[in-house]
Amino acid sequence: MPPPKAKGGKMTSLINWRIKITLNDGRSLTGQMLAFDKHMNIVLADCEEFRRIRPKKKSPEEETPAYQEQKRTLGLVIVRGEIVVSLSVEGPPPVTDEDKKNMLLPGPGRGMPAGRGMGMMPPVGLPPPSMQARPMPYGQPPPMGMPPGMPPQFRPPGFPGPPGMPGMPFPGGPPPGFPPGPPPQ
Amino acid sequence: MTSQILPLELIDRCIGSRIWVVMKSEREFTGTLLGFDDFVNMVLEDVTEYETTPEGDRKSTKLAQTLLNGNNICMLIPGSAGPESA
Repeated sequence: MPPPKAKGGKMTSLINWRIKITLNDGRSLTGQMLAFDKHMNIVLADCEEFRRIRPKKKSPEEETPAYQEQKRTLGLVIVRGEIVVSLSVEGPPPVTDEDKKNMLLPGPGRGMPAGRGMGMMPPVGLPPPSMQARPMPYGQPPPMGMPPGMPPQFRPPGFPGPPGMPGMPFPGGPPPGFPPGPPPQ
Repeated sequence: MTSQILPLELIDRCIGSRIWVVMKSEREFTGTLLGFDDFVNMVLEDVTEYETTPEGDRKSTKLAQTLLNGNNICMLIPGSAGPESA
């Protein structure tokens, strides 16, 4: 899988990725690429070296399999650019603790300023709850944009009522289905 | 983003500390890095030279001070005690 973006060159985008380097002497190295320079000198972290032992080097009477892979753990390694033949991506950068912290999903809680009696921000366009009239049990919500002191039944001509509530039953009586009686306080 | 530290800067920081040098051939050196130049020719002190034979045996030789030609250097492993620790 190629890295998502190549900003400032392909090599730069591979920094911190796990890569595999083939050397011109038959060895290969895998590790996290921390740095490189114009000579292709490369710094690898957590480096492991693999080398193939060629059978022709061994004495003929030895009964070892044709290709034997030898592995050594080297750690932090500086590789000389001159001997680098090829470089391939082994995997994405290892996940660090820092990344894990950022990957935490947000919970249901939220932060908000503490207030006295005004726990939540009022919705835009409405007065804060503490300034609103006491809610009437069966009444419509206090209309907006009306001069104070106007009875709730009265509407100026051309004022169609609260927007988004067509066909709302006229206030004053219980909604259909409610038993008549004194409204609870 | 550029790389924070160049490979040669890292070698520079290793001056005075132990380093394991792997050559292109089956030859390795460990020693205290005294210095290096632009070609990464290196001067090492209290050196042990390891030579791995094709049979897999390892022959070690102690050397006091060594100048290594950078041409033949393959890898540098800073702060390492050498092939015995790997």
